[in-house]
Amino acid sequence: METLLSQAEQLPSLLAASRSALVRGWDTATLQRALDWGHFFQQLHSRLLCQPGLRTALERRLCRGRRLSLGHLRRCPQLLGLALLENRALSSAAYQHLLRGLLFPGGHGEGSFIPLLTRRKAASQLLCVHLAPPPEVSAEHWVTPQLRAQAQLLLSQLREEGGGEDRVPSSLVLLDQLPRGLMLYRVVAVALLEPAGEAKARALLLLWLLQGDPAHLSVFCRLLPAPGMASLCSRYPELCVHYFSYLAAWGSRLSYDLLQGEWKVSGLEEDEVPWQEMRERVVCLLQEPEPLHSSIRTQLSQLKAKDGDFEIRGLSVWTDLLLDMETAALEKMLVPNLL
Amino acid sequence: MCTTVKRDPIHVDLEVKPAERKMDEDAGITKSRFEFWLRKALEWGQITTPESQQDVCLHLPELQEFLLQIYGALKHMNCADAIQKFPLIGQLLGRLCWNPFIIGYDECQKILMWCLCCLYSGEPQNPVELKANSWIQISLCRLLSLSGLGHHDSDINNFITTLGLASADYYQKLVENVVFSLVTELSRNWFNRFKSQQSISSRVRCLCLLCVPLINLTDVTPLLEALLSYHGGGSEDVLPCEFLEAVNEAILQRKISLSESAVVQLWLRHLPSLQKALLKNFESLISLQPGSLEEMTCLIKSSLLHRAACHPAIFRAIEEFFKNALLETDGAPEVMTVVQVFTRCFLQAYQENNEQHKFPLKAYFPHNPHSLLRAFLKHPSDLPATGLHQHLIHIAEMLKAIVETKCMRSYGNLFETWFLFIHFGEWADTAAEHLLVSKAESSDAMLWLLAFYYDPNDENQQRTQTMLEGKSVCEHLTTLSRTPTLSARDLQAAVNSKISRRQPATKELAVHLIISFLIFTANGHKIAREWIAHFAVTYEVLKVSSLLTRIAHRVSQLGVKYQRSVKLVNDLLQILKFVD
Repeated sequence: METLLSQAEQLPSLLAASRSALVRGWDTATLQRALDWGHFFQQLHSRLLCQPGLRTALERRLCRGRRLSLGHLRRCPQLLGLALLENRALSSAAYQHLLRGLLFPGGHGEGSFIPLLTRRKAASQLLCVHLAPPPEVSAEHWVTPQLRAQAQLLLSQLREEGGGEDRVPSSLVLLDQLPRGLMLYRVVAVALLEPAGEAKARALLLLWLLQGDPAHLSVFCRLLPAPGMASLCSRYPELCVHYFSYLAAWGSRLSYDLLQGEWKVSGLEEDEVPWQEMRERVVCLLQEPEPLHSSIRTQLSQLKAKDGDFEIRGLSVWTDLLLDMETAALEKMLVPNLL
Repeated sequence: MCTTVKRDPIHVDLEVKPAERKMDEDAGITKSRFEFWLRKALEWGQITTPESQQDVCLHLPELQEFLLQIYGALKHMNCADAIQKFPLIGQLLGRLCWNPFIIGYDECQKILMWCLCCLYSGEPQNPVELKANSWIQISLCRLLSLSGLGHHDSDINNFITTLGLASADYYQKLVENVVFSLVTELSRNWFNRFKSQQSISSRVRCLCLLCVPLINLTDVTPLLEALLSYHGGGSEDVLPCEFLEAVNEAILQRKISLSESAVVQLWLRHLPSLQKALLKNFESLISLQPGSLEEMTCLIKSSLLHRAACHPAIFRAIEEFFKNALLETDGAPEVMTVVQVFTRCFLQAYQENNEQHKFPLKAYFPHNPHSLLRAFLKHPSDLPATGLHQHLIHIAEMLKAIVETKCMRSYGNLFETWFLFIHFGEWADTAAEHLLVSKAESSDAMLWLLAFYYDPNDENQQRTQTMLEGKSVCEHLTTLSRTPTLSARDLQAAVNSKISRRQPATKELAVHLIISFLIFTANGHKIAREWIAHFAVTYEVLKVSSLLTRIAHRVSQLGVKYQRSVKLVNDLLQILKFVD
């Protein structure tokens, strides 16, 4: 077993090498050895089911140091093959050998994964074009299939990483390694909104968001579209508490322009949200079902009370927001067919 | 909505000079064909109208064939030779690699990549080969990696790689989700948000065309099923014929397997597809004969046609098909057997069908009296031994009454009655058995049933003659069943003397009686093997074996009492295999 474990420890460096300029020195024999290792790791993975002891030991060993999972073992031939195909440092002779091995597989008892991958990519290109929603409904359709695909992959990887209690940190490490930005937050949001399954992975994701780096949460709430945040608040009350406190903070930074008769941002601070967006975010929250609807209404009234409970426009953001909501509700009641 | 784009007459429109006819002797790739595909590739790359997409789809099978030929030629060449032979090969392959319709189709992507692999030089000797190598790597990356998705590329790439996943994982999930979204849109009728009915239809049509190259990609199956059950508001079918035909073809070739309801929807909305499925199944059923009825049953059940027939519209189309087959073959026994086996499969499916909107059986046989249908539907095992005999007489009387009523004498009505009888041909077999073993005095009714079965068209009262001759054969067989020493030759001689050559139906009836004699009487048992070995050829072997298989199936379901008969019939069928 120790031999196996130390062999498996070579996996990270093998994968790293396949993406690096190190491959420049590989001849066909070296390349073949690398590919053979890939298949060996895959076979090793297939035997783990009936050897739980080896499985645990391997998991420990792989996660130590550089972060890898058993999934890497299973996927090794693919990860290796695709990384090498894209690697421009590979010599022509080795590249030709690689191509032949990938396109005309034999000996390993399975067909090439390459044609199916190509076909799926083409299929998604063809069908995605058709999916493009018309502009007037695009706001509701921020959850694209691309995001959902990424979200589902993220959840499945979190599940693979976080099998037992002691695996929690390794999942959080994985999340911290992902490239930050709008895309990540959208993926996280979509993952949290996935209708069913992966409850454990979703709990981990929420934990990372709420208890990890605080910068995550504020950017998350700020960058995600209003309908998305509202759906998340409806499903995760613990997230709603934070979101509403951000809303309150953003609202307090708006000031009323008496000349133009509207709420404005100062433009001096980074974290400012324009009136229209504030309004949209509140509207979306109020469109969610109970108990969220009443809770938001109460909290808005409390903020309004704090500002002096005036019923005149221009004194409190919250008064104006509530008045706007009432007008909108009235309009909806009077002319339902036009909306 | 059937628009067909006219195919380019590849082989005729270009004048080919003899000198340049063959670019490659072995593969037979003419210069004109190469140019044709290059021109097509250029054309498809520039226009992306629905018409040009339709044109791509129409040419895909031929293109795949052509690419295989190209690969056949390339695999024996190095890059330099290939470029010398096909100077524009890079342009052709490159353009094809850009087209997702082509990459998505069947095995096109695989063959294209094989071609690229052939052009790759392991030891590039000159700048051209180096350039070709670099171009091949770029092309392959475009086909396989996450690049090429717009400005999100590197983000998604980073994301997927950091997760420890490959593009293969991502595209599998992406297709799954795209298909899921489209299915949801279709089922919610989300397309209705578009302004006019016309634009919805054109969107659905467009989606169908996109699916054509992807039909045998299993990820797309749910979308195919959703499209097949999609009905727009208009009266005209929104799904284009090309799509329906392609799906049907894939089902028939067993390249895909769709849910039963989707298949039924396909056949309901596109009659030519149903006819094609029927014809294919019918042809295999005919060529299977003489085979066991169990094999035929399996073949029918695997086609789903018997279950689709639970929809009366489909049932009627199938009946129409069978009618034509019977008329055109003059009631060939193989066709009659197919009708019987199919009917049995259909009835089983009908009984298993627990849907709320189940149609009454009457809806399937609107031209026949319900009482007659009910009589045919009775299962022999539900009747006591004596009751069975009574029931046969009852059926004969009912049929006779219908056929002999003046107003029913029109050819159409006569045919409908006979056609219904053919569905339940086991009753004719039971009648033949009863004629030989039953001691009850009612042979006329049984004889009439058999005579009608073989000779529905009673011109010049020939049925009376058939019955008379049949009766004489039957009486003789009864005598023979009591003869202590009987040989196959005696039987043959006796029967021959009783049949006149003028009545073809008599011969059929006589064979039926002889076979029943062999199987159901003790004396018959003794000489059965001998008779089959020597005299079955005097009749058509196929007819004899067709009768035997039917009887084999019937008696095997009658229980232990018939065990000896079952064994005998199987032996006889074995012997028949070596006769002829």
